[in-house]
Formats: sequence, structure tokens, C-alpha cells
Amino acid sequence: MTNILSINNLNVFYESFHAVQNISLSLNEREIVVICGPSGSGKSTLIRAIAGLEKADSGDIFINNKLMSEKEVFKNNIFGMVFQQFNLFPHLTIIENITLPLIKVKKINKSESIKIAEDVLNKVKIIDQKDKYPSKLSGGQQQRCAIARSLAMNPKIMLFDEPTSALDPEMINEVLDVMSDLASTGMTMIIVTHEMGFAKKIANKIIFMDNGEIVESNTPENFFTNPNKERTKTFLNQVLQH
Amino acid sequence: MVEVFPRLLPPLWVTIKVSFISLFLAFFIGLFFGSINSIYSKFNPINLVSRFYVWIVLCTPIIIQIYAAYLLLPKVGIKLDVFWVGVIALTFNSAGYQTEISRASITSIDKGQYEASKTLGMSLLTTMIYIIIPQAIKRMLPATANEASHLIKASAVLSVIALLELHKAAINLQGNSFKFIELLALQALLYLPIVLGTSYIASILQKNNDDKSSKIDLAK
Repeated sequence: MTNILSINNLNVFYESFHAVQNISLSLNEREIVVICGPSGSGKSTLIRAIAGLEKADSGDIFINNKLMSEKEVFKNNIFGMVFQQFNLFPHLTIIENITLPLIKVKKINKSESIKIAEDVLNKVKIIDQKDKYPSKLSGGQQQRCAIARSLAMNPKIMLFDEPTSALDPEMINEVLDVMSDLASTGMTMIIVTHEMGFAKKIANKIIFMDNGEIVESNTPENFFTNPNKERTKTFLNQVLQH
Repeated sequence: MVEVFPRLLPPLWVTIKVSFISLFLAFFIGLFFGSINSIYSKFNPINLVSRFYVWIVLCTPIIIQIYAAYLLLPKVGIKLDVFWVGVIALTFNSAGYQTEISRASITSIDKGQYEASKTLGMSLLTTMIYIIIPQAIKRMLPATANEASHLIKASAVLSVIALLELHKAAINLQGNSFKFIELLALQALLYLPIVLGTSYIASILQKNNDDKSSKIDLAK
């Protein structure tokens, strides 16, 4: 197993608030890590800092054991990011949402980019919606399009920041199915989610965060049946009650 | 009345030309300053200059801006036909307002759009050109149409620098014929269709945009 991502002593401050405190984390190729925790625990800030969307105040991020600047990370499409609010481009059709970055960033010609786009849309099963505008699609379809758009850029690691939190219960499954499919193709993924059942099924490692710190990092089996920390038990009791 | 009407048509065309050329130029200046304003900090040098510029435009009467263009441009060695002096004065004025319109629209675009573009590897310039500005222009449309009708009417003030536009032509005819009230009514009637036409075109453009990608599907 080759190490693909290591984070050393990452710190993020919002003014005087210490949102992410000294977090170190390492990830092997094909590994799937789920980050969970109560709101305000810093899990979204952590994943956004990894993606380069929050400025880290200190700490290093190594990709394939190589220290990379933020610019290199973006330019080489190391990460594909999926947001809670989808963030599709509303003025472009579904297929244009995917082809535009391919054409402008990867400098792929139009017909080739359409081929790539159709291929990823097939994977997320919304190929029949390709000429519609995002506003005409359901939330689940929009999120699947967002996943396809990130996937088309051929990232090394996919990051998911609460991908199902803005969805109706009915649509959550269709997005989780797509993510499971993606996992089975060997994609390396970091997922922030509240879907504990899904986490149990898909994760190789579960990280529990509270107050900006990693409280527990464990295998899914141990995490749910035999957690090390008292704080994890209280959290699990809260979320698994119903 | 009927016999003076044709004599107002060439000046009407001058009014249309001077207004729309100015609007068009001011649109791009406004878009440039508005973009810089909304993506860089307040203390960026371009922003300081553009804030000062907008402040001057918004806080002085248009007639002074027109006189200033007419009197100051030759002093710095720029000798132009009075039509182009008019274009410069109106562009100077309108760009101030359109900077504010652009800035407001660009600022209103969700920051998630920038984040998504960034994680897809798009540069800020690419993001502005292909993602942010196309969305912002749709939101600018109603305010820009408003500014257009304002500017068409404000172009009447160019009569003070003897540009033979609609209002100036009507004043000249009043002097010859002493038909003051009739010519007043006639020029008002001639401004009307240009302004209404502009609003109508804007509303069609607006509707087209809404049909394509509105958040709420009215047909459902």
C-alpha cells in the first residue's frame, strides 16, 4: 500500500477560534476515510483545508510523499471536491458543467471532452439529463452531476463535504450508491458525513472529531462496537438512538 | 408641426448614437472596475482609484461633468468633435453607475461558485469570464436597463455644449418658429419610444434568461 496523502500538524484559526487543532492524518491509495463528529467540531474546516479552500495557519500536506504548494495542488487536480450545496454552474447545462473545466483547465478539445463527460455521466446514471440546466434536476441528480464533474478531472483523491446533508431522504440513497460504486473502482476518498450506516459499510477508517481535534481514529468494526473513548460513546449513543 | 417633424429625425439619431455608444463603452469599464472591486481588497490601488472615481461621478451633477469634458479635454491637448466629447462625458458618467451595478451583481454570486471553480483547477480569470460574469450579467440586466433609460434622457443635457441632439435641435426650432409648447411636446414624444423600446428589449432578454435556467420552474 502506497501512501498518497499525509497531513502533519495542521492548524486552522478563525480569528482567535482554533477550528482545527494539530491534526495529522495519513491516507493510503484506495483507502476510504470517513470523518464524523458533532457540528462545529471542525470536520468541514479540515476537509476544506485539505482541498485548499481554507488557509491553513500551519502544517504541511504531502501528496505521494511530496510537499506541494496550494497552486500545484489545484493545477494538477489532486483533489476532486463535492460540496453540500452541489455548487453546479446554474447558467450551464449538465454536460457543459463537465466539459467547461476539461476544455479550460485540461485543454482537451471539445469533442473529446464531450466523450469524457458522457462517460462520467453514464457512471452516475444521469446521462439522459445531460442537456438540461441544473435547476431542472432533483437534488440527488444535481449532486450526482457534481460528483461526475469532479470525477471527469481525474483527481487522485475525492473529497466529500457532507454530500447528502442538503438532500431529501429519498435522494440520499442514490448519491450514496454512486459513492459506493466509486469506492469499488478503487478511488481514494475522504468523506465527511452524518450517515453512520453508510460509514460503517464503506469506510476503512473512521475518524471522530470534536472541538477541532481528532478524538478517535479506528476501524469501523471497533468504532461502532468497541470505541476507545468515552466521548465517542456519547456521540454514538446520540446518533444511533433512532 | 408636421413640417418640422422630419427636421428632428437626424438629431434623434444623434441622441440614440451618443447614448448607446456611451452605454456600451461604460458597460465594459463598469464590468472591469466592478470585477476588480468585488474580488480584491478595498486597499488594492485599482480599487482606491475606482472608488474615488465612482465617488466623483455619483456626487457631482452631470451638467458639470459635461462642461468639464468640454473645457478640460482641449486643455490637455485632446481636441475632438463635439459628438465625441459628448460620448466621453456620458461614458464617464455612466461607467460610474455601471461600476456600482456590476459590483453589486458580482458580489451577489454565491461564493460556492468560486470554490467549485477553484477545486476544478480553474484560474481566477477563467472563473470570472466563464462562471461569474455570465451569471452576474443576468442579474445586472434590470439595473442596466434602468441606467440606459436614465442616460438617454440625460443626453439632453449635451445641448449645453451645442451638440445637435434632439433637445438642442428642438431649442433651435423653437427659436425660429416660436412654437414652444408644441416643440416641447414633440421632443417628449420622440424620447418616449427610445426609452420604452430599451425597456422592452431588456424585458425580453430577461425573460429569455429566466426560461433557460431559473431556480423555480414556473411550468411545473
